[in-house]
Amino acid sequence: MFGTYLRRELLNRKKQTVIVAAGMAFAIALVMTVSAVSTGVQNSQNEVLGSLYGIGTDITVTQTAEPGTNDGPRRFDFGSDVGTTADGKRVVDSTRLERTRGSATFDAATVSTISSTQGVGKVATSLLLSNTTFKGELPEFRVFGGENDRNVPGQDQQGQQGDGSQQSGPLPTTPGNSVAPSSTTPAAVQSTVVGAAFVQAATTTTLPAPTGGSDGKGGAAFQVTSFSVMGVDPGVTDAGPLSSTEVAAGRALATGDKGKYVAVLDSTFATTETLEVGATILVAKKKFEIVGTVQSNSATSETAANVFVPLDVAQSLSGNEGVVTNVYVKATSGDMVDSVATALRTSLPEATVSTTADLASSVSGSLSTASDLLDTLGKWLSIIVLVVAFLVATLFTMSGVSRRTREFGTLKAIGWRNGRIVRQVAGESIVQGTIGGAVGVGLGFAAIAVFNSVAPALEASTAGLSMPSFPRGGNFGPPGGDGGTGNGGNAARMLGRAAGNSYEVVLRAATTPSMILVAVGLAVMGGVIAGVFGGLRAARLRPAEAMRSVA
Amino acid sequence: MSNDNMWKSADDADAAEKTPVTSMTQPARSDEGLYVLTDVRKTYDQSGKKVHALDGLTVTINKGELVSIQGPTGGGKSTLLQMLGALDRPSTGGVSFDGLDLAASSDSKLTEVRAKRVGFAFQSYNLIPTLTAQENVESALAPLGVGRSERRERARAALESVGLGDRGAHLPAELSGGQQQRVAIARALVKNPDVLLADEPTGNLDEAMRDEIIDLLITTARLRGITLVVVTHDTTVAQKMDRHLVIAKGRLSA
Repeated sequence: MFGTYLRRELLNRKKQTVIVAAGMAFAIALVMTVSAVSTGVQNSQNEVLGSLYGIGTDITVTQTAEPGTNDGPRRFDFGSDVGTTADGKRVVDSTRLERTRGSATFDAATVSTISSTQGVGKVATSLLLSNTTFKGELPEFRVFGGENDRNVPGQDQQGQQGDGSQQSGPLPTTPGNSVAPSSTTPAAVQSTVVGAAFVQAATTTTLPAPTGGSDGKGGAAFQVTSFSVMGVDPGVTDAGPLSSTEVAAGRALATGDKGKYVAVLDSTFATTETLEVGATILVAKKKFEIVGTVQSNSATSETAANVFVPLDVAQSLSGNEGVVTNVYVKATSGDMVDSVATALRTSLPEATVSTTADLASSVSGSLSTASDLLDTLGKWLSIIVLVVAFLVATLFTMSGVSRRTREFGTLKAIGWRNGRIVRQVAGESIVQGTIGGAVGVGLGFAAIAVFNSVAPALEASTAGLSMPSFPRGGNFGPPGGDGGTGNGGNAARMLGRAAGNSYEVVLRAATTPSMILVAVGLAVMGGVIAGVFGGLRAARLRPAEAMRSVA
Repeated sequence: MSNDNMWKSADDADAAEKTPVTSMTQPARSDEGLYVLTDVRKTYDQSGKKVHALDGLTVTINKGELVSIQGPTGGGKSTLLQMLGALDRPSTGGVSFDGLDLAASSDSKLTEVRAKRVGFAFQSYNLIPTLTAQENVESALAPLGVGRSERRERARAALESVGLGDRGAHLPAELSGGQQQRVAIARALVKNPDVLLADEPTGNLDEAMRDEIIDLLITTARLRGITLVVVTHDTTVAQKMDRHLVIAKGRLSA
């Protein structure tokens, strides 16, 4: 009887059924759309953050260098006997592999402390380095001073001379360029490299016209190239910087690669540099075999470095034996992330312990604006619409009960109990709500499809993130400001990188099974609420009064 | 299935469900008082003013008796019918139904009495508009826990007994007034009640239909020994009953 009566009521009171179901459908569709867009925003944030963090990573531990611990500005110093001399030019080529500025390191004991913290499931480490090469042509050095003019020892030899670590010595000169005899001692003659200018200074009153160099007139040309190198635990791919990457060609670093000069390149970097699997790349002037290339799992983000090499090799070549710059922690469960972060902050007060939530708060730009909008306007709009839909359903149900006073009075007169009547009314409302929910889910999917067809692009900025592990693509530029490059563009990029990166993220609303279940659940709940109110109203009708009202 | 068989079958099924206050195994009139109303008063509060719908009414109605109740509008006829039908309780006084004190019974008990032992027929028929004739009749069996197939069979037989065997699939709106009242009577009779209470059952019908309906009620009541109480303004209808009660100002008149 319940089913028959329910079906008849819904079919024969179509207007009410349609209105209640439509109201509920609209509310559910709105809730679903807002929820899907919110999930999309969250996914976009995770994409941006995942590239920083590694998708499997819950917490990163880094440490900012203390002031005055960077040993001053980084330098490329060239001694008098460096480089190759030919045609009045001196060709110099020097490479430095060192930690990025501003980063500090953790030793094995600290990593052990992190690993033994309760709730820590997995720990990965990395050493972030910058490989910078200074290469250029200088005029052949010479010394002024008449008879004392002399060639720099070894200047006639061909080939490279050292790696640029020599200190300045007596100024060099070139044969045929000696000036008139002078009483000036060589020690009184100075020549200094400052920025991009090669300045000759002498106490003699007359200097010959400069010759040699890149332009034959004493000029100089420099090329500074730099790429980021990250030493990683070979074989660890479920946490850390490689967890957010996938192999594009070749293979990933394996456990057996420890101690080997093998490298995996960011695929974009490899393409730009025309490097392929099987070729070699020079890191700290050592040949590394390229065994593979990787790319970010996300279309909107990049890998954490240009070149990945085994951690022990990176430590050895950069003189950072036994230390790392980044520790990536994967908690045993999502519920443990906060407690682990708190424990790490306590045990490592000097370290910067960042969770995904911490980083998410640092993302700004229109993506952040969208997130805030959804958190505030979207959420409240959904709640308001949902409440209105519930109210509409409840009011229509109660109104329907009022219109059916005679009907319910009659049913009571023939012996229907209150519970049966409440169930009947509630059942009708629940079915109306469920129909509305089903239609709402369909409308929601349609709205989401429309949204995704538009696919609005949002900008995300990670400005304010002070994570040393933040070398993105285009990681060029000298490690020091006084290396003599005079390349303001690179310096500007450096500043830009330090200040944070911007990404354009295509926002796509995302649905999940749980979201659909919640949507349908809300619709059913709306039906239950309306049905209970309506049913109780019907149950409160006294049969005698109900009969009198129609007598 | 013949009507006789149907009723017999229904009696047997229903007998076990009824409270053991009385047994309707023999369709016969008895002088034993089925209803005993003693000094019944019912007072309503209408806009702060006390209205005495029943004012010291005392009456006994026997089993199988056919009773008509007449009187002026507002005299207390419908209120009396509600007391008899366990729809309401008196403000004071006693209402005994087959030994059961309805005035002191719980709502649940009154609902049980209505479900099992009392049938109603109303002037406006009070059919559920969205249910078919068959389903309307079945609705009276829903509270009794009768299974679907038996429910359908009994409802179909009840409709046949009132001459509407071929109208079971029709909605009330698709039936004439007389047909709707027949459906209402079928709904009242399908559970084999001890009492059939009819409130102006022919009030909306023409004379020919009135006679058909009242004859149907009387025939069925006599056949099955059902106590029939009819509230009516129609003297023709009243005169067909065994006993005539006239109520005015909440009391029995001579």
